[in-house]
Amino acid sequence: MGRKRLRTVISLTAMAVILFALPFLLTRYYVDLTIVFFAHLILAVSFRLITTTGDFSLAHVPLMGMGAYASALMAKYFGWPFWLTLPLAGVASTLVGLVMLYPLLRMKAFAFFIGSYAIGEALRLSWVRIGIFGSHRGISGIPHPSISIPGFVTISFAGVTPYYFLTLAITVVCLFIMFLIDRSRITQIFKAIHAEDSLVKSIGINVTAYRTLAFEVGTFFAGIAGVLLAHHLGHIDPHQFDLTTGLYLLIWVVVGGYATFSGPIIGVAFFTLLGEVMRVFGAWMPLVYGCILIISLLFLPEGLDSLPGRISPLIKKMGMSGKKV
Amino acid sequence: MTLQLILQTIINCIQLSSFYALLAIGLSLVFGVAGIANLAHGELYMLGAYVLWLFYGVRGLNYIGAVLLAMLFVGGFGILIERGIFRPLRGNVLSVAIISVGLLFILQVLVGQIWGLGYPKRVDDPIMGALNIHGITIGWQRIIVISAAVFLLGMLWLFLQRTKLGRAIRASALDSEAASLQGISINRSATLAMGIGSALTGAAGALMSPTVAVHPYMGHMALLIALIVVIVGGVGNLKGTVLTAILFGFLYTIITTFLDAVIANIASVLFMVLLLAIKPGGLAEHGT
Amino acid sequence: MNILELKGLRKQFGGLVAVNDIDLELKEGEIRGLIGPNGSGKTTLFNLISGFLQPTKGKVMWRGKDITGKPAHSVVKEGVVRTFQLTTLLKDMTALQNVVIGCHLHIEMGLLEQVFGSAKKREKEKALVERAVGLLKTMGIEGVKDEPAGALPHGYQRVLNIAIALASEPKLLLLDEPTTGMNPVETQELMDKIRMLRDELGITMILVEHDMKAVMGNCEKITVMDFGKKIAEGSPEEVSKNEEVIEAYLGR
Repeated sequence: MGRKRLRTVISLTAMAVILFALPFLLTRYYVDLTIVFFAHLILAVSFRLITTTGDFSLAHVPLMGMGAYASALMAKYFGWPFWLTLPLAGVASTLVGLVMLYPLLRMKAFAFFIGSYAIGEALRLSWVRIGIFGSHRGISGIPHPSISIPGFVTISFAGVTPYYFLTLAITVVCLFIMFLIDRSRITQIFKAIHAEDSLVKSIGINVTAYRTLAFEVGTFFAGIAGVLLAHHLGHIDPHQFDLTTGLYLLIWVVVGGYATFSGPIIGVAFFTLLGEVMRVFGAWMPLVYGCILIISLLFLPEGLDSLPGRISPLIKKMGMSGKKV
Repeated sequence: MTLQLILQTIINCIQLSSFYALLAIGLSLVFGVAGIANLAHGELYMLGAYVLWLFYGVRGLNYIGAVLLAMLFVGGFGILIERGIFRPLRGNVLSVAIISVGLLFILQVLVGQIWGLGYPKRVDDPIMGALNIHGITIGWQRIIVISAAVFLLGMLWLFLQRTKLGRAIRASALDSEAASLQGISINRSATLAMGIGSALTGAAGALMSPTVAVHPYMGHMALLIALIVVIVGGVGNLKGTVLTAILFGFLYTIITTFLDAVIANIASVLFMVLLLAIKPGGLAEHGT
Repeated sequence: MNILELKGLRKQFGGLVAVNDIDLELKEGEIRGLIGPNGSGKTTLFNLISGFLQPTKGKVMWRGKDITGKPAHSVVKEGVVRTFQLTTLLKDMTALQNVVIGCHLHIEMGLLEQVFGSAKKREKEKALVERAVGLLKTMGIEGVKDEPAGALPHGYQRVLNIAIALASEPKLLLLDEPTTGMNPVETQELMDKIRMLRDELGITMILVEHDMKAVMGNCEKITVMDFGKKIAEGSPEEVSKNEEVIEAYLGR
């Protein structure tokens, strides 16, 4: 095995070991936090996927909410099992997303940004208005997932630890799929659309179709993230999916770096840690977020992700001047 | 449907329209001249209201003085943020919008933490009571808002049409490249537009503070209104902005009076989506 | 046999008529010059033919088929490809990568295969790269294949744009000012290559150009536009002697 490959295998194995051991090492509070962290990872990476075409969607969080509501309703009122509601909720999000795309695809850049906010807000307001979504109070008593093979065995994920592993597994699968997409030609085309969409049209690529693809794939995973949150928290309401949450998501991804696959992951990790470290200053958090966003955009536009790239040449320089002495 | 009700509703429409026009014109100006889509626009409105509350409500400065102070303060603040955070990103409308989100959070939290998140602040009407004409009651505050808006917008119009500086700003809005070739400094135009636009927005906040609830999140609604009016009226198109403000003020009042505010809100939001979708070329980006 | 026919093609933007009732007939294998002062509507005409703009009125007939109003990507699939007045490249990617992306119509891989891979994926990708290298060779710029497109000298960038256009196997190539910024030597080389593309690959071409020498020397027939209208059409000699044409250029 080549050295680089060996290093990757070792670090992945180490990560796997840590992730497996985590729920047994941490307190319940932190395991809960990690579960939410996983869901946020899916949310952020899928948001970033859509941004590769240049579309920054403030409808992403409302669409996550759509997945949450869909699964909650199916599980609570139809009694459908988790393995069914999970993908169906993802599909529900994509269908609603498709309707949104009808006006949204006619918009680009800033117009898309504002338009996506407006239409996402319309969706959110519809949960308040339409009875079955439970209005302002939302939906409570969302059942814990359980997988049962009739007459054989039933695995319940009611406990935190089983739910942790369920979420971990789903997150790994989702991130892996998005990683493969990121590496593929499809993402090259997404990025080309962002850079020079006229050129992309002139080589026979249907730009609208590709923008739709990016949006729908991202939306599907947002729906999945919503399902994970819904069944974990047991309760959802429209307030959880409002503009503030959407703007926080934007900040995680922009500060982490939206040019790479790992950028949003770093962003979510950074802000989750920050949130814990600064819990005392609870009310000041949005201000801290705002300051970090501004500093980031002015001085580190490619995000935290680009920091190692900037620091290593500096370190090398320092190392060399050390040698001279 | 009495004549009185109709006339009363019309007065309400005019007042709302004046407010909308004053609120939106600053955003239209700065978006058109410098490509700045300031999503913290609502917070500038909020700052204007707070300055008025602080100096007129708490310290007892006279009303007009406090309004002028609000304009000065918010205008100056606008210039600071233009230079500090918008100028480095100028040229990319989306980037400016994103960075303004940071400003939005900072202002909301600062104001909330310094002056409290409890009940909204109350500002008394400078002139209590109302004017009574033929049985129609027009609150003095409404008259103040309408007159002030007309006055300020008129001053703006004169400035843009009749002064050299104003014409330079208009030229920058139409075609920044051509304007700079003619020796018009884009930086100066942008700073000036931001200063004037922010001052007018601060004025809107100060003037409306006796009427609305003054709290750190009052800017959210203001931003939404300003965005809708600017998008529909045309970015940088000041005449269009004023006309749209009038139209919108009338529609919103009528729907709210005869239906309800929630429906009016949903209708507004969907209308914005519709306009964004069908406008040829979306929002005219600065300089094109 | 007319490979392209424009019938009464018109494009109006509000009150401005950019393309005013243009009729045009193009034979297979022609190299047609399209000239006219700035703002005469040449690029708009290209946009109409290639599906980048919808005409207000009129028809675009391609090989007997009505392709009026078809979106750009469909028109490319029909075999009509255009280049742009301003260099339009993926600047952070190498010249080779640009052309590989350009080979989009020939990737023979479904979306799932692109993401999850397959046994044959490597081979197919290799074939694409080979194809791209071949196209770069055809245009004579394979030497810079691994340079970032944004770093290439201007002349190379213009040629690269044509290589990308060739990747879609066009039967009609609409070249919008291909020689902009080129010196006379580069211009002549490019013109030779253009003639070669027609002679060896049978590609019909319309050339928008400001370089009169290049146009007169390489096009059998020239169409002249002014203010959106066709004011003259004929051989280079006929057109250069046409009074209206002279006035259109001098009058500016």
